[in-house]
Amino acid sequence: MTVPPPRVVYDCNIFVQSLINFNGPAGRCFQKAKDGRVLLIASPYVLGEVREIYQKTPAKYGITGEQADELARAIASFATIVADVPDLFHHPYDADDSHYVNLALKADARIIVSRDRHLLMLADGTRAEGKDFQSRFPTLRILDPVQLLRELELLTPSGKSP
Amino acid sequence: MEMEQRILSEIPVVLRLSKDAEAKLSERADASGQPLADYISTLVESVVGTPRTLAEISGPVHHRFLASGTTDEELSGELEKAKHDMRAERRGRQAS
Repeated sequence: MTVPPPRVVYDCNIFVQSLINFNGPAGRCFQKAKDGRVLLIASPYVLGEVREIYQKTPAKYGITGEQADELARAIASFATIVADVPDLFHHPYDADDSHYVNLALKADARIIVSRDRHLLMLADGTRAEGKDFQSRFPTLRILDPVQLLRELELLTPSGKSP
Repeated sequence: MEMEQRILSEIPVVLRLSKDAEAKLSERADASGQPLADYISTLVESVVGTPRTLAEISGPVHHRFLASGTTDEELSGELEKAKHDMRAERRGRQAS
């Protein structure tokens, strides 16, 4: 019996980091989604952030608006795009991060992948906000890219697709 | 010389867009010199087509990253700052 790929939401910076350093963990997460090893969930909001963030990335990398646009289109070509995301959760420290949680809830995703400390703090059961989050949404986890890659390796120790 | 002819389907659809997205779409169609319907068709074709690889999209960006000596960890920090700056600017625009 084959295990269906986990449904995941990626923070916009996972995509941008994969563009700049495609050999790093974020780039490998991008490739896993493209290869169907995870079922990537995105939204117009997430794609909008991917398109917009290049204006604030360090000039030394020289990311252009065209590249950001093409990256967003590439994501849209293999992601499941979910619109009309309800406001169920409000992040206590960063309201803009709430959308990622709400998107995961709407799409029944079990994993959010991020390196954002505000999102990762929700995974920290020693913090009050982490305890509260985990009691409200026990099936939803926040992982960083390396943790996701490790989990995928455990699912398929031989390295083959599930 | 024989011209290659593509067979095109016509699909009537209704798009439900925010006012902001509609305005941006119209602006981009104008900038591309295409009628709106043709511009949207081009966008849809590009989404359902096979995307280029990350390496192809990245092009010189990846080389610049390697040349900068920045680590992946440092890059994460830079991008988190960029994201929060972008969001602060967006909130400013929405408030005004």
